[in-house]
Amino acid sequence: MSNHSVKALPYAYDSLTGISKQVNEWHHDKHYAGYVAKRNEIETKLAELKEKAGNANYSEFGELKRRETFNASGQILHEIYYDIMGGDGSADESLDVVKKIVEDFGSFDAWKEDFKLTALSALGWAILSFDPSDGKLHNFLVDMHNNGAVWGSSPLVPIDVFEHAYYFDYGPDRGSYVDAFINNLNWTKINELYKNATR
Amino acid sequence: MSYSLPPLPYAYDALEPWYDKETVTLHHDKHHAGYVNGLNAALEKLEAARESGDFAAAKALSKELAFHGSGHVLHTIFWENMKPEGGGKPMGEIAVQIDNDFGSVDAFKKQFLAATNSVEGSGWGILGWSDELGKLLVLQSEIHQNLAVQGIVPLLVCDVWEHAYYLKYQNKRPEWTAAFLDNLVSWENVNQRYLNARCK
Repeated sequence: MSNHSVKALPYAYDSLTGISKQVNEWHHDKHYAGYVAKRNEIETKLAELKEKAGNANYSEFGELKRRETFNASGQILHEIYYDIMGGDGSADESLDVVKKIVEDFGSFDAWKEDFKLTALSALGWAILSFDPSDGKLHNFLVDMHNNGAVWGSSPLVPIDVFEHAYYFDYGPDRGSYVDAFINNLNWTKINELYKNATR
Repeated sequence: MSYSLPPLPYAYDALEPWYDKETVTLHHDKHHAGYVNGLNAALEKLEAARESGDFAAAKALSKELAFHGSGHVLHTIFWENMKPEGGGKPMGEIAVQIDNDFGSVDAFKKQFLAATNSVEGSGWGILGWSDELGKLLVLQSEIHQNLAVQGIVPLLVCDVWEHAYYLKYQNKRPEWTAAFLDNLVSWENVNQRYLNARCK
């Protein structure tokens, strides 16, 4: 246990359009790697904790448990975030996930508009997710990494809106970053995630 | 009555080299201004709700009020907490109280930096006075309004939202907080706030 490892960026650091090499280096190598390291550290500490006191007000055990979901979710979302970029943003209408977006949101543009509004409103992430409870796609809003997740749903397109994701490139202009992110999406990859989620 | 953005109490480049002009400009003119606007909007919507008697949005509006209200208050204190050629040792009555409540200035500084550096996500490190507890406390604040001890009066606040430091310090938050404490803090301002806050 406690051996989660950092996944390499699946493309060159300078290969995204509108998200700089510098931001990718800091974001991937420092922030994302930091969540993986902390997740390992927390799991180790939990395993080695001598006095395991449960207490809803405060206990070391409880705090470690609380931080565990923050860091685990941070790791997971960043991995998907990087996996689904590296494309040219073109969403082929023949892809199942694109058909499903049109079905559930009315049109691809309507999805994009809702996704962007969600991203502008979040304190952590906006996530296009498949929810098996109603069989539909949703843009969910998540604060931090772990507040606002819907149980059982699969994240397909998570956009990180922590300021470390865009501030160096865009300052407070988060909207331009969201546009750049959407233009870097690899819809073939996203379609694979969708197929796995609906299998 | 609506609130307006207080002007920065010094020039935009006055805190160089520790706090760069570009970050200060964006931070004050965009982010702080956004909280002032958000606070006014929340108050207007609440006034409209009182007039119409429709409080369906009471929960969302109360949260909006806490977020933007705290954002405005903390940023106002933050700017006044700094000055060019700041830093150094606490002075006046607060220096005595820091010794009393933390043991020494060094111990206080270590605790303040450790707490501020470990704020989860976006938030603040805060030195505050609690009249009820009769004590200075170092606290973390997540976002702007979470994790407070009720009744605390913030005296010294360090912003660790990434917009506060990312352009200059990137992911090296501890370098920003050390620069804030060692080179920017106006202890005159912190001491004055302490004198104003202390009633008992």
